[in-house]
Amino acid sequence: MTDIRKAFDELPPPLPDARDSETARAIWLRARMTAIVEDDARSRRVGHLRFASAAVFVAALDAIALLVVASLAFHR
Amino acid sequence: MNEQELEELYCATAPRLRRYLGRLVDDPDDLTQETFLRYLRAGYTAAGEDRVRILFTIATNLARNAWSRKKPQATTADPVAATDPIERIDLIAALRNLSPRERSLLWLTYAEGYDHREVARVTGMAHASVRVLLFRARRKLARLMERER
Repeated sequence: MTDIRKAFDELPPPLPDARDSETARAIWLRARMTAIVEDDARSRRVGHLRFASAAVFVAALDAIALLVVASLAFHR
Repeated sequence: MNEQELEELYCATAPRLRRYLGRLVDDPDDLTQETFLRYLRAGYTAAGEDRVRILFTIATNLARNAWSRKKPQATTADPVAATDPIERIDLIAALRNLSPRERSLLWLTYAEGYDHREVARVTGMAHASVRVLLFRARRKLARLMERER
């Protein structure tokens, strides 16, 4: 019966690549750049949401004010 | 994690991941880099061997995505092996005839030395399934290696 464990043990060890350090630095830069781009997109989305919510608030306030004025005029 | 720590982790772990992914996909270099990129972006704070396990988990998921993209060839050939310096070894030849999932289970168990529970965590499978599938994969591999000789 074949000894699988022995067969795996006989495999050559993992070989380091001379460019590993360089690749790691490139990955670090890519991750940083991706984070910056994502942050930028996120803050732009948040800005749009804030503007939209302010617009809704003003519209709602406007409608409430009109209702109050109309109701006061009606009761007079 | 800072740049220096990443460099140390990469130099220590990338060769193992490349070797593992080399048994599973066409382009182990690309997936190794993608694995580290995803690890960084997820902001994990694990240390020691836990970090390595997380990296193997990400790598396994990426490999699984790659298999599902090109399912027809996934179980029939290991394109990496054609240029592999260790191709002559019976084991590598036999592994090529197993499914990617079986290769993954066997590699994590025997080359990386993970126990069933760790393999289950890395592959996202149930502990009991790992035991059963690993038993079948081991039997299949042994039969194939006998035939190679």
